[in-house]
Amino acid sequence: MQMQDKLYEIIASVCYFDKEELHPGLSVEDDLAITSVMIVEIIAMVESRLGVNLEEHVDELLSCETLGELTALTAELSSEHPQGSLPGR
Amino acid sequence: MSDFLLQHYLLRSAERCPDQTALRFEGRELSYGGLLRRSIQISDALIDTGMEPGETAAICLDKSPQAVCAMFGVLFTAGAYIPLDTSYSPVHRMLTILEQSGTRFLVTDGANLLKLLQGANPEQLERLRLLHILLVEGGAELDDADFGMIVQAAPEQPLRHLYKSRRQPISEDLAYILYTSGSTGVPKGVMITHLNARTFIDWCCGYFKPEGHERFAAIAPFHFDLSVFDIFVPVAVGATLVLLTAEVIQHPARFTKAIEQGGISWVYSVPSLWAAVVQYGRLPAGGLPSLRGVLFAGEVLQPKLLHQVMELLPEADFYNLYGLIETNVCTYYPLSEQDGIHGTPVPIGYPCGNTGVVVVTADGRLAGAGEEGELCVRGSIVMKGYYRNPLLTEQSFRSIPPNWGLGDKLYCTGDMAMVNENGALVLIGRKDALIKRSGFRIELPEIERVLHDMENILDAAVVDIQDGEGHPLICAAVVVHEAGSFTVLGLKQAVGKLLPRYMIPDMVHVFDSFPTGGSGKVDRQQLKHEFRKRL
Repeated sequence: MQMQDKLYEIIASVCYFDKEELHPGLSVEDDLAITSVMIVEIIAMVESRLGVNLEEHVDELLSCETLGELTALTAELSSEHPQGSLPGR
Repeated sequence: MSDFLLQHYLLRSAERCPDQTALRFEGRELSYGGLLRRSIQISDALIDTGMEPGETAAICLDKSPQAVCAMFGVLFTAGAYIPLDTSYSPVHRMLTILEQSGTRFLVTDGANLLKLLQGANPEQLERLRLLHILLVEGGAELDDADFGMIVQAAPEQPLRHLYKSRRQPISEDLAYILYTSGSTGVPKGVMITHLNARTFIDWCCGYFKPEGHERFAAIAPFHFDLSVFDIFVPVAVGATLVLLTAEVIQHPARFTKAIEQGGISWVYSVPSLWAAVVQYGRLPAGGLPSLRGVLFAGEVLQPKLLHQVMELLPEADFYNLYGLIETNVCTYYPLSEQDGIHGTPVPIGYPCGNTGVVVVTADGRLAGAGEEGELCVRGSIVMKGYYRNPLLTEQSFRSIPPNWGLGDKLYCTGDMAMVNENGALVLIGRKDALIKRSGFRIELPEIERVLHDMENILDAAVVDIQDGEGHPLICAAVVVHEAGSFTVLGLKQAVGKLLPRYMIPDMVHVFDSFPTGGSGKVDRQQLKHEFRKRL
């Protein structure tokens, strides 16, 4: 839930939504009109604010259809790849 | 002397190299002989359905070899094609364009026709039923009894070359109509003749000197003017066009893999495509050795991005191109490393061949070096006009004094520019409410009209500002009847049902009332200021 809250905060700031309006069932493409450029920006903010390394998973994140999927995948990756855990970091 | 038309590029290449691959898409290939054959089949079918020379046909197909065959099919029929946007636009917009164009013919497939039927209201459905529909693929899912005229163009049909026995078009005839955002709320159709398109394509062939063994990436959707280069330049020289889907283009790593595996030589795109590649393409320097030319257009090219892309692709040549749909590409600028280092804007350069480009000051003079003014274009590269809109056509051209020695009319782009100390044109901004995002043109009043039509909206004004990196943001200021039932998400969803995704406002703010100036008009500068404060 904490991850969802933080991610919604980031999405709301990148895409200029009211955070309170967001919910997991929303379609990334049709409801939120989040473009690939915005997702790249969201990923960069997640990396810097939440300390998660997502560089290797951009394609998977770009493929998420709903906000719920995007949140779940980010949470999963955050537990697998905290920043600094990848080789060379 | 006979006129050389767009379809003659295909006839020439199919005769010279019938077995050469013309199109490659998702692992499948279509030769020049195959492309010609399928195009003529479609032309035969269109002529059978009653399409007369000079008529238009809309094409509602996803980016695919079938779509390219359909374009050439319409051209062989001596008609003009209207490509509809199946990737970014809601069905409502496609139906609006069908209505505005008044076309009697629609080339589509089963899946897209079903989409149109399901999205149409009863009135639109009635109009759809009056169309002559040519299905190039699919159709099993449709109940064709609902239509007055629906035919299939089957690939196994023998060729009849019906086009040969009808009146041939001339260079001044329309080849295609591209629809773009219109300030009145209705999209406007830009009429491009064979001569307009050929002036650009022939210049490209002469200047860039592409070769038959090279491969071009089709990045832009086919309703977007950048695709004119992608489709016709390779066909003109017998090269291969590799069609990339939106899914591949939007995923930076998949995109670079497609370029690498496809051995692509030429990429023509908006700069923002490369911004994502630089950041997330996982591309080592020199990682795309097949790339010979990288062409940018459709957006302002930032020097920093240019520098980054040049470092990634040290073997490639880079060019900055400029033009509107109305003018094709009318200026070019070969880029050097210096352009990526300086903090000054990257120039749009010099007029393309057989094209005149001048800067006209606000007081109606030809601008001197360093002087700002509106960029105006003349020559055979400039459109014929706006389809079924003579008034708008007249307004977009200006008469000029005979002593300028530039003919009698110039097309006014609305872009403000100046000539720098090296004699190259540099863009400064716009003089109206048109913005460009990811290369797509957006008339802000069109969004405003959609907002005004919404039930809970009392008043609306749409302005643009820039984010911290210089990217345009669309900002909708609204006054609502009932604040309790208003949501930003609801507004964005409602706009997305009527306009393409790239026209959905980024920022939305509810005002009690709008700030006004001395004349009582909405003070848009103040609104911009309010939105900037919220960044």
